[in-house]
Amino acid sequence: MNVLEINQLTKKFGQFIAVDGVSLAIMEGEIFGFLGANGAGKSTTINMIAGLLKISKGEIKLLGKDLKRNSKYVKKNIGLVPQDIAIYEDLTALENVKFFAGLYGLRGNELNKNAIEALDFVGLGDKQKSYPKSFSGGMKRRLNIACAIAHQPKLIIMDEPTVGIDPQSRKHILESVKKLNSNGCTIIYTSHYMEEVEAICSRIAIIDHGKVIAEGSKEQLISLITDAKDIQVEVKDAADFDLKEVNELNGVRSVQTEGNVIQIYSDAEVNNLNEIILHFMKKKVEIRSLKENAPNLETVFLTLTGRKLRD
Amino acid sequence: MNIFRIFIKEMKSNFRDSQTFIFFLAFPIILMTILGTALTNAFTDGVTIDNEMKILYKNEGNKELAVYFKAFTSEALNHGFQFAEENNADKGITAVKENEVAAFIVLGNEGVDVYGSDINTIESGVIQGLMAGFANQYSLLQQKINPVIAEEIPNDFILTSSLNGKEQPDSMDYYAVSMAVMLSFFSLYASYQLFRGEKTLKTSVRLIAAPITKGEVLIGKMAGSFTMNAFFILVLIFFSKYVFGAEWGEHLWMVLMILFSLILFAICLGIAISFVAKTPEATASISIFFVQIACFLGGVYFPIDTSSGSLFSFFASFSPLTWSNEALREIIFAQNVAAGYPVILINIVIAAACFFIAVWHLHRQEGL
Repeated sequence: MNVLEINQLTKKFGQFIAVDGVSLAIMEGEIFGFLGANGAGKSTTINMIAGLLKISKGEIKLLGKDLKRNSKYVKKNIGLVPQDIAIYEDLTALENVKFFAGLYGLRGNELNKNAIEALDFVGLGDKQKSYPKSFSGGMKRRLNIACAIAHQPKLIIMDEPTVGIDPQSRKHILESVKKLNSNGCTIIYTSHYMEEVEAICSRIAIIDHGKVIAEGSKEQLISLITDAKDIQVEVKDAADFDLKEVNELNGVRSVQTEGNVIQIYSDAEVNNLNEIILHFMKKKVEIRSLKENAPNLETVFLTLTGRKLRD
Repeated sequence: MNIFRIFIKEMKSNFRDSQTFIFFLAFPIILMTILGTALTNAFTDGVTIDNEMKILYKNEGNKELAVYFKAFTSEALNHGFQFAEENNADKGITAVKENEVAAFIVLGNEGVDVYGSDINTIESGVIQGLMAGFANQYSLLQQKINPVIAEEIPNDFILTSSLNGKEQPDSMDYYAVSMAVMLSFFSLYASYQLFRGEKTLKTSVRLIAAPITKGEVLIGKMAGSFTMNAFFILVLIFFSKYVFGAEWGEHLWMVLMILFSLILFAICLGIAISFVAKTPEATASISIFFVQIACFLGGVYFPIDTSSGSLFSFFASFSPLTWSNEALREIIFAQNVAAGYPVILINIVIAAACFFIAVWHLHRQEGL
């Protein structure tokens, strides 16, 4: 059963088309990953689903009900974890959760019970009466999640929920996402961390220039680029290395550096490893290590969009 | 219910913020204490009237009153009050406006109208006292001659139709009213943040994502802000009354109606500014400028004579604090309750206009 159906969704800001005819179906119980670089249209799509932005064209249906005609119903069944921490510093953790859950129609004992459960769920059960100003970044992120789940929505949208937090809090959040999913929640998850998306998402859509350019499970996406390989060359000093010349080597599609690691994406069927090594030797660049990686989501993203996720 | 939730949230946030108390309560009280104490002499002591005071009058009363008033003016002349008859009321009022005479008095069987100069002129208070004395004497005389008629003379004989005649407020009375008016208008500072604050905290995203309307958010926030400001006004009034002995008159409900209408005005104006201005910085700058100019022209820091005809007084008459201030003094010191209605109406009409601007912007834009 489809929890969310998006048909030909379009958003225009003046002449600029931010989202261009996106169509998607998200099934019940999925963790659906949304991948896209900054400005790709991913946040705009999410904002339209959450009712933050008006739809220019197309339709969004939640549990078969159209967002435009049944705005209250749709909103009531969605929980939004915004990218920015959106909590009141002058309300306690419990008051924050109760206030936002209250806006979804929860009352009395049910409101109190759900709010406490939501705080327990994100590991802040002992901080009910504490003010967020005393919280670490990770704790605030968790409270940000609690505020979105207390009303027990059918669909939870998590927009970059792990930005700027410590590894321990990230781990806690990722476990929470999985646990929510196992409890029956359908989740839309966006992240700049490819490994997070790989680890938790059952299906992924890659969005670029406002369009969905690929969609499927991790394996399905990787199978799309069997014609490419990823070669990583670690050198002593890549500072003055001319990437342009490497790009002109036989079969090379793109080259990027990250520190002293040079990442080369090349046609899989072209055997150009010797040529690449020779080029480095000719340029008197000392090679520390060299490896050919199996394609992963990063490779897929780079191959399909021509840029890295965090560009 | 959602409006109530947002209202409660606003109240919690406001009352937990110590800066709110400092700004909205401590500051006006301290200012009232300093100005009220420092400027005591400017309101009460050290004033002498060297020249004769010229007063025009018109008698619309009966013969008896005319005879008695004639005798009264002869006696008053010995004390420096020079009365002259002027049967054209327009000319009499114009003479007052142009400061040619200290007052224009219309005598009638129903009461005495005193068209005095502004509250800040000493003459006005003196003439008010003089006419009150005349009214009392006339009342006593009538009692001797005809007790039945005397009973029919209303207690507020001198005050019922007085336009500008007032008891002279002392400095603490003046600043208690001024600070209450200023504090009401300070609501603008709280209201321009109502929506900007949500944007800064990013909580506007959650409010829009929730199944509530923008209207519910707007009303809930306005109600919260109004209640907080109304509470501070009440505290200020009772503090000034019982600690400084400031005069608030016998019509406190009307005083509160004016102050509350001014709060509503300021809240709606603040919200409208926050929607019309493009950036938070512009919103803050416009709001601060607006409040400070309105306070300055409205006679919050020192009395301003709006009847002087100068350019400054012309601009002063456009300050909402001026008209609110003047109406409050009419009610408190002249018992002229009717002076409050037009001011309440003006405040509410402008508030409604600002409210519609805010609603229009809110409806048009995406998000809060």
